Parts: sequence; C-alpha cells; structure tokens
Amino acid sequence: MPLPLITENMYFDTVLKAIETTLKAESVNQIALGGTGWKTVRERFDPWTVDVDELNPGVANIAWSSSNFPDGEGSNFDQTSMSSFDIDIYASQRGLEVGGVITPKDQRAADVLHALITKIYYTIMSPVYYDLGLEPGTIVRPWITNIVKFIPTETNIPIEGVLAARLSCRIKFEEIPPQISGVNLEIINIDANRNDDVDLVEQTFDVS
Amino acid sequence: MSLIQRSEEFLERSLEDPEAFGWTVTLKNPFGESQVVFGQVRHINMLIDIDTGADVQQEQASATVRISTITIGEPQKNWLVAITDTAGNEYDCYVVEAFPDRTLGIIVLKLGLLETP
Repeated sequence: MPLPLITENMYFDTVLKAIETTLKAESVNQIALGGTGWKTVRERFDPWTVDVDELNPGVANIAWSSSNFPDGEGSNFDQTSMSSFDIDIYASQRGLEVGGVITPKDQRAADVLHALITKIYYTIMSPVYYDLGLEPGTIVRPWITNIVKFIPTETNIPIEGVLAARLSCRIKFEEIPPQISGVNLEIINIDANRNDDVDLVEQTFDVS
Repeated sequence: MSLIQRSEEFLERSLEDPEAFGWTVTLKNPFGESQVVFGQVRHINMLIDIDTGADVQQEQASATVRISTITIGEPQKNWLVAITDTAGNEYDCYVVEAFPDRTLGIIVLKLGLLETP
C-alpha cells in the first residue's frame, strides 16, 4: 500500500516511515514464504550466504542522520535533498551445544547480524521496493553507502556479547526548501448542486 | 596458620555456605564427569539504552567457586556449567573464560548461556 505523497512538513518522518514499512512488509512476506524462519531472497549479487533459519532475529532501528542540499540542483521552488538514514542492527544470542560441540554466543550473534545486514541490503536495493512505498519519482535513488560493524557502549564501556552494524542509506529526493512556503498559483473551484433525483440543477466553475 | 590460609578455609562460610549466599553450581568437564559445588552465582539481564528509542537487552551470567572443592579438574573454556535461578529454573551454560585467583583460592567463571534445545 503506497504511502501518500510527501507533504511540506513531514519529509523525514515520511521517508523514515516508508523505510520502516518496507522492511516490515518484507519481513511479513519472507515469513509467509518461508515459515517461521528468516529467508533471504537471492538476487543478482550475493555478498553473504548465511543459513538463518534457526536463528532469532535481532533488533533493527532506523534514524535520520543528515541532509545536505547540493549546489546547482533544483530551483527556488524545489530543491534536491541528499539525506542519509542510519539503519542500526543489534544482535545478541545464546550459545549452542550439540553433541559436545559448543557454538559460542558471539559467533551466533555474528550470524544473525550478517543475516540481517543481507536482508536489509536486499530489501533496500530491491527494485520492488525502489520507491520505498512513496509516489514513484519522489525517491530518486535509495542507496546503501556504507556498512560498519561496531560494538555498542554504555557509558563508554563496550557491551560484551552484543554485536551491531550500521547501514548508512543515502536517499535523494526533491523537496521544497524551508524558506519558501507553498504559493497557490491557481484555485479551481467547482460547485455542483443536485436535486433528490441526482439531476444536476446548478453548476458553477471558477478559476482565479 | 597464615591469614591467607585461614582466608581460604573461611571460603566454606563466606562463599559456599548454602545458609548464606552459597548457591548450587553443577560443573561438567569434557570427559563427562560432573560435580555439584556451592558458590556464588550472578545471572542478570542488562538493558542497554542506545539513545535511539530502541532498547537492547543483554544477558550475563557468572559463577564463583572454591578451587579446592573441585575434584574433577580445574574449569576451563570447554567446560559446561548448569545454574538455577531462585524460581528453580535450570540454565545450561558454557565457560566463556575462567579467571582463577590462586592466592584467594577461588575461580571466577564467566558464563555464556546456551540455547535450550
């Protein structure tokens, strides 16, 4: 279900919501396709191959990071915005012991982390979700620019057993600059009055 | 008897006493031998505020036992440990790292919880 075209006051919120909605929709689709486990749709490129069926998903969080407005693009009324959104993923797992062989919790957390990176990467770059649920043309191109692994900290102390990664997603879209408020160039007004039999009894048409 | 030796002997009261804070710890070595000892157990969940509105939870456990009580060897990375909570639920763990203090006579086992099959 596409979201409505973005409006003047809700650019970032709308795009954030669109990304979130897209990821959620993809999750539901994948679960429906593959039962309870996570499955990854194979596309043209395949940077990681991880069997994720038996693993629990981690946590993904989306936050707007920055916007910049390149010179020479757009006009006084519309402006090109290059915005960056960070998709942070956190994974924490328990270890697994099978027949005396222990798979450590860190290794399993890394498996989940890589699986989620793959999943989000595919989702964002998939042609199906290219518009992120917005009106076609609003989003020019979502693009994963960077992937960094990190260990979250609490009061500057690294948290043991939690692995995290940040996918930086660059999105280019057109918007009205904040110093320009929308101006109505034309108001088109049509009044139509009908009687009880739905016949048209009066019609006025006004262009100002 | 030196104070250090008396301190080690006093572990029976300060560390292992089930009437105090002593709690059951089941040790299992790679040869399949197991031993139930008493020590101190910590099993907590940490909530991490990552400043983005989504909290991340992380589980940590450790056990501290008296070295001289253990008769099946010295716990190392490839040992398994079973601990229980106060509600009686049992949790299987593996030793992530073992930190012996041979002066005090104790060993701290940093534990990783295992997925329940």
